[in-house]
Amino acid sequence: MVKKNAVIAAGLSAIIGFFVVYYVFYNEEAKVKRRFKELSERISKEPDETKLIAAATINKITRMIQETIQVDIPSRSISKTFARKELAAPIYNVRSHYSNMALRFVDFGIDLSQEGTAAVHVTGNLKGKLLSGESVDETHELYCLLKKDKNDEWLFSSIEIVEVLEK
Amino acid sequence: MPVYPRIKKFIFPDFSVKLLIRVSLVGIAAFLLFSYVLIPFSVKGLSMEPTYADGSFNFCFRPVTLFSKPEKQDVVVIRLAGKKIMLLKRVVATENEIVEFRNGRLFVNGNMLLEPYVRYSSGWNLPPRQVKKNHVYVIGDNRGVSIEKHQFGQTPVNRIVGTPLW
Repeated sequence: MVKKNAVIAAGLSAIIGFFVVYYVFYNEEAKVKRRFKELSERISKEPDETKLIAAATINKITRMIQETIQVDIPSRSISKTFARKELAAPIYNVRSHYSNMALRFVDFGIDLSQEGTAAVHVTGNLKGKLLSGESVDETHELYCLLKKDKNDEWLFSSIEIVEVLEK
Repeated sequence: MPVYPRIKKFIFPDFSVKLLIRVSLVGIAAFLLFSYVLIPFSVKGLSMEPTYADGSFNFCFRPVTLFSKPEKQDVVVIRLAGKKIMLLKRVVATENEIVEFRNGRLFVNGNMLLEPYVRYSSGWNLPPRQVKKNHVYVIGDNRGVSIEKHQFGQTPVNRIVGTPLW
């Protein structure tokens, strides 16, 4: 009797554990957050980064993006659609101004109500040092749209820096 | 009962259902208090120096927004996408007022504002702009950086989460 109860308890624990792991690691919201974590790791830069590593990193960043991406930065009057292959040069230009940089995303608000689309409100914080020695510490709210491709991967289709404080 | 065993019993009480219930209630009350009423935060950055130093600790008192609208010279906490990172700024103008900077001096509706809290200043110039309805104009106290580097401007009142407790 005791052995039978122990087996049932172990079985139930295994089933519950399976569903908990599946929900935590494999649901769509977790996948979207992992995508942002990957983006922050790719964009971040160490001082000893070589040009070869930079090129490989930028290639990985562009593969996280749809065929085209809409970029909106109202405070700089930027509203433009970029093709994926056009992105390598501007990303390289921006990263090359920094000796080191670290990007992190917090406070995710993810809306998956539309099939195949994730609308994400998130706070992004960029810390780093420019080549001139000047320190940078900027925080902005972002509104991003991600869409699923045929391989079931979430790719960025638009990024907007929300103007919280309008000068 | 001698003192030492009483202290030991106080710090390491016997486990019981009553103790478990008490600890759970204290935990739930603390969670509700520090999530919805008094949000602890630490200041990161120099934009509100010298009023709030980088690294200083405080609480964001949320209920104040339920009873009154923010007024001029109030220091407020502004929400971004969530509550983990927020902005700390001072209200300098309310809706429909005209704000401008002339050579580092702040003018509201054409009148220069006295700002005893500002210690570091640069020669900021900003053409006049009107604060929209249901918005307030907020700026940090540290004006010692260039105007491009300082994050300030008008924001909707519903983004204001609370005020620092001290």
